[in-house]
Amino acid sequence: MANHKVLLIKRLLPLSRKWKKRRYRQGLIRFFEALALYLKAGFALSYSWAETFKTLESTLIEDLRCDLKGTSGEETDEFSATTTLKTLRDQCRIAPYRMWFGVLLELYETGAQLTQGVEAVVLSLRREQERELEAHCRSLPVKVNVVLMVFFLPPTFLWIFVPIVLEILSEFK
Amino acid sequence: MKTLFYLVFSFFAVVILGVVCFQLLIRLSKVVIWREFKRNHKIYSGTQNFWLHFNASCLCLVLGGFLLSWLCTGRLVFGLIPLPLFPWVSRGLSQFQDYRRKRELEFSALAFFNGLLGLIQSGRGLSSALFDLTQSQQTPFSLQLNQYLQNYQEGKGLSAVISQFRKKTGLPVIGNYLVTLEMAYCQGLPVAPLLELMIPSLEMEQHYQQKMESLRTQAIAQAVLAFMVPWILAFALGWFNPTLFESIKDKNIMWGVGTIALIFEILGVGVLWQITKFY
Repeated sequence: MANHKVLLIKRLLPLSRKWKKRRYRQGLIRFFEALALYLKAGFALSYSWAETFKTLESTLIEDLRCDLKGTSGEETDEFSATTTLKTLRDQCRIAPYRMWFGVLLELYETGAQLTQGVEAVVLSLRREQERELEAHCRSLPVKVNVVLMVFFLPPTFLWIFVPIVLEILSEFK
Repeated sequence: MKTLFYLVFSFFAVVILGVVCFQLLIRLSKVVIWREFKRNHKIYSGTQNFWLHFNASCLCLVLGGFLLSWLCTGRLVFGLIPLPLFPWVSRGLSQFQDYRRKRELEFSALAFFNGLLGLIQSGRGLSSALFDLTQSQQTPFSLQLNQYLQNYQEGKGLSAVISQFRKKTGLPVIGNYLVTLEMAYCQGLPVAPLLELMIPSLEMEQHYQQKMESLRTQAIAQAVLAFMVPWILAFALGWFNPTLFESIKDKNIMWGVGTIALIFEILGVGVLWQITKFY
């Protein structure tokens, strides 16, 4: 099957979108954990961001990699934390996370301590993940029962009733 | 019908025999003499180990197939039927084995990282703490890491050793943490705060992973039972009411019913597999 068709099917599947969002969040947690470590050690955000990205690049999913890659400043070729955070604030693929980038940008621009902000993002994302995992585990037995009833009961009924119906019909002939 | 039954029977026989053979081989590999032989000759490791298991299970399956064929039909020729199934059976078994190995490694990593944090907080360097732990702990994670740390003694950098270990083991969750650990070591950043962040996250992830795995196992067990029920009913119909079964067996509609039932069940298995996934 052509690649674009596979992509189309994947986009149509709501489950696929859900998994993608979870993987995106998982990557973001790892990224911010490492970033917090750099910031704690006293490195500047631009350097920390670029170094963390370089290290974790291979482990991130495609979408997150594109989002976090960052853009070079227009005047210099150096990595610009402000531009990247601005882009993420306006165009992050998962809309509710844009707020976090906005907060980080504001902290960065006002020259405030970033470590605690980044750690708060990690904590919040972790809690969100935990909640979702709990909900997933809670709802799974119900979902499994529904699937069992929808897909496995009809074949059972088919094997029970079809021979009987056929036998009755043959009596009438 | 007899042929169909034979095909289904041989398939299950092949699967069961394959599992038994594989388990026997694993038990054999745990025998000290065998392990010593492997260590001395260094011939059966990595892919060679896989091929050894593959060939041995194939051989056992061929012999088992011929034996079954001879026992059931009195002829050896039907023993050739399971032959095309070998690659799939072996692939499935090796994947399962690999999954179990990774799971063991991941679950034993938590105790290792806790020990590492303790040693680092008491003032040890990362490399010294790693060496002490791998030599004192006998968990799968430390045993595996110990093999790679031999390269450090031969002059390779610690980050390169950790990177090699991460790539070779291919652990998805621990791999990400190891990347961060490598980064911290290379940049000269403190490792203890990183471990303090890592350990609760890892604990949480493992807790939920275990929970999800147990739920998934329950779902699979239910699905297997539900999958078998219609066919058990068909078998019961043939057993208890052979006249009714014989009268409907020749009708084309029954083949249609069987096909629809099978399609529904395969779809159900697929849907179950998808909904039990989290990532």
